[in-house]
Amino acid sequence: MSLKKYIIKRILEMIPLLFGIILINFLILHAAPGDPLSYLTSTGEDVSPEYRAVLMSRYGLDKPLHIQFILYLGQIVRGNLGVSYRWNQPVLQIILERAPATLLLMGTSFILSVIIGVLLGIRASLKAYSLGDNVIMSFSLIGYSIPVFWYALMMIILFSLYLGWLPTQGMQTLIEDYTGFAHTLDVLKHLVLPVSTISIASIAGYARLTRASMLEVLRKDFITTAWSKGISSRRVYFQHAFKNAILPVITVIGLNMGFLLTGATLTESVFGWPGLGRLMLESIYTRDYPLLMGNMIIVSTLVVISTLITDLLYSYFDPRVVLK
Amino acid sequence: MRQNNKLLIILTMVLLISSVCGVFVAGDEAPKWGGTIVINIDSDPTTFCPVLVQTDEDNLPHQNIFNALVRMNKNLEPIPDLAKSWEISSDMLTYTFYLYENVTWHDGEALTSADVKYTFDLYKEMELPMSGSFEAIESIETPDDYTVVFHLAHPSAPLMATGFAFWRGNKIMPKHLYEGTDIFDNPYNLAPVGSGPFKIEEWVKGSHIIYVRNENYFMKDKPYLDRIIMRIAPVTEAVTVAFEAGEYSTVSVSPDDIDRMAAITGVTVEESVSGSGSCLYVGINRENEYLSNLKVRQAIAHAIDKEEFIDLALAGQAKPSISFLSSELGWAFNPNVPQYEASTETAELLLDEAEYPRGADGVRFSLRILTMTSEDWVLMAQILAAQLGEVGIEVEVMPLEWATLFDKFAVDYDFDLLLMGHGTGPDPDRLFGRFLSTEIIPGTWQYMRYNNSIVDELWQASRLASDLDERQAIFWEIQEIILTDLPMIPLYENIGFFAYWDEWHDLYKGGFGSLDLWDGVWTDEGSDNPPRVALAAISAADAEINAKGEEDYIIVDALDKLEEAEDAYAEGEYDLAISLAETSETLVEPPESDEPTKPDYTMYYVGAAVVIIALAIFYYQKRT
Repeated sequence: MSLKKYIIKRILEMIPLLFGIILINFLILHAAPGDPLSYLTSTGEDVSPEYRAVLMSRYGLDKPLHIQFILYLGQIVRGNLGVSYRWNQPVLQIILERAPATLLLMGTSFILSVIIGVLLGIRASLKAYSLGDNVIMSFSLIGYSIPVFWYALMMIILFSLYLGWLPTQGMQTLIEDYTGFAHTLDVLKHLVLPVSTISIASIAGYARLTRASMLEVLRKDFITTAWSKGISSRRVYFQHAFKNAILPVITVIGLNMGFLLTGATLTESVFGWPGLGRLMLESIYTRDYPLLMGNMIIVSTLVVISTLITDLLYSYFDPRVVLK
Repeated sequence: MRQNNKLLIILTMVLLISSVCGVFVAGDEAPKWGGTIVINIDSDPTTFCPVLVQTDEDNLPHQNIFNALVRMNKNLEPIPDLAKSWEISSDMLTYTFYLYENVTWHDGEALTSADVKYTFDLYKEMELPMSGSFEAIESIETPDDYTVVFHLAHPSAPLMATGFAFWRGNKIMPKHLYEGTDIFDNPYNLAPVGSGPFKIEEWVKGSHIIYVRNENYFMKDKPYLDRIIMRIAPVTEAVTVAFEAGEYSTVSVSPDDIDRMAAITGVTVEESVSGSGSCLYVGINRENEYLSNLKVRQAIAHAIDKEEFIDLALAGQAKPSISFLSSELGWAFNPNVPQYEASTETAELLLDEAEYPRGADGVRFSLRILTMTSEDWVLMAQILAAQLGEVGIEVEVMPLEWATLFDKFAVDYDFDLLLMGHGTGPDPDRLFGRFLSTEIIPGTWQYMRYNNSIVDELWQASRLASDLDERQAIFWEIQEIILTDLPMIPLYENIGFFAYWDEWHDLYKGGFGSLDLWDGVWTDEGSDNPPRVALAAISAADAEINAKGEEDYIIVDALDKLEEAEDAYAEGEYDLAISLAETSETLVEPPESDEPTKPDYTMYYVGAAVVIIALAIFYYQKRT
């Protein structure tokens, strides 16, 4: 099957998948206790039955559930993600407002952790069970298991409170009006702590995965053959071993890529980063169905697409894999 | 996170907010102009539209953009805002407000009585969150542009406190931008045009709101601040640490952090005495087979040791409460209600009398206590469970996320005990939704389903009473009855704390703390002169320099200096701007003439002096 046909087939397969995702999410959200007006009561204020009726009919929540679903589906088919209850603004607009900050945070962490993680993993595997390997693996074990919230606070106390090097809240200094390069530098400074918080666990993950995979490949017969042919160690490691060892890593990278837009709720909360993770959490608390659904649809689509890309990359790295 | 802490945050904020009032003693220092205050808010507002505001997310952000007719001072008395004066007829049926005449909206339109009428007519015409508070208003007259007359259908004692002078729902809407539009869908809800001391310069959702000074504010030389920055970040420990690192000007402080914060040089921690009457209590479901028994409820009240509870849960930083009203409410609070002293013996005795003996495992019966998911609330519920466990009542703690929790206790009435709180605001009437039988509707706060026709009647009478003594007597009686019936058990009066860097003055001075205009807040870092004076100095210098320029004077240096003055003005350095403007005038040089300039002999004199001194030293040393 040609590559083009394969891609078209996969994209067509996405349609029922997305339909299923929408249906299940819709049902789960509406099955959750409470409704979009619950958060109005959280201050201890009452929502009068009359005002409740006004809002419920504005939100279209006074109709039977199946009608609501059909109406929603009709909207989605026309490419309209609906209007957020909370802000009365188009869902797509709200998500796009928050997407750049999310991508900046998640993308930077993603790239850094892939590069550092894979390099550390290779470094550890080249001299397995040496002191260097043990140090890297111990640290990655700690990094993997450290609680995000605690780690973030420790970083804040060290780098912000004691050393005074880095800011901790938000993605820019608001009291000064930086422009141009100073602004970029300011954003980068704000990026350091949240990125390191997110990356610490994923660097550890990639390092351990790469190391394990490398060690497995290095034990294979074809590596022994390569050694016996007298090929330089650089070529053995990087051309023969690495290309095979990277396959499981690519799977994980591909899967993680799909979650770039989900944001990192905990990290965003601690550092006040204006990302999509916090937005989603708030949307759950406020039962902002359209905003939640919209984001879930976008994230699911991205996950499905990145799975497709992973499969394609896989077939490139491993000729044994046939697309069908 | 956000919702988890919700109620505590809310209560602390309301307190914080509402009450700080009494704490500050106005200093003799003259206020200064300029500066930017940076504070933290938990999450984005959903609307700035005054008549739609309902949640805490919206309460604070919309305050400084709009004005109300009146605001509350720290003694919870109405003081002028848009209305310079007002009269209330002796039958309490006519309220007349006289407005300031120089008020404009941020877009330049004049604010008149028509805007006021439009705003309060909305509550009649539409179902809005605060429609109930203004239900007594029958009609509104505007005899001229600056007079508004409200005619009431019946006297309404709480109308001023919980209506016109409340912290929300009382702000005046710009008629010219809202009339004829769908209020829910109006774009100005998110990009507000108000009349208040500040206007919004930028709002980035999830990140920040920046407010800038309204240069045309109707109160002369107010506000003092140039900017307010509200950074939107969930309240976590990280916010406290960020405050310590100087990223915030002020933050609220949890009881555990008070000592640590107070120890920091340059930081003051203040107690915010609760002007909003915030109390925490245990709500009781009297439909439960055990809890329907008054003796069991009394036993629970005796089993709870409030002092111990406060020590364990709140580091001792709260006041045990005896009524559903806070003692901060002065006249309304009844200090003589039935009290249930902490005593496990009495509790056990009552439970024995109720014929619920301890079983083989020591347990009499089991109950569930519902609460919110944040750590502090769970801890409080656990302490209650432990205290009740001592008298043989086994209590299971069930923390639930807000929407689920509310659905469970207020819609399904599926709870036994509920750890909850409420604030009365400036008038006890606001609690009618908790106790009147007419309010027992699923989805409202009458989840205790308290149904007592005597209380219903008393409450109605309190609204029509025109005399404060009469209202006091009624509310004292209501408290007596409710604390005998025990649909709820009071725990403590919440005390909020906040910390600020010492450069800040007059923070949160009004009756509702931060839920007020911040036009009086100022910083030591500011200038002695208001922006108006700086602007006048700059334009005077500008006129002077240009006039000289006409006469062929050399004004290049002067203009450069003047530009520096303008920059300083833009930066909010008003004193500097004035001195630069004054300097700029002196830099105007007369036109060049052909006269030879006098040579400068200074260097020769200095040189000679050095030589003489050197010689003197040389001579002196040689001699000795």
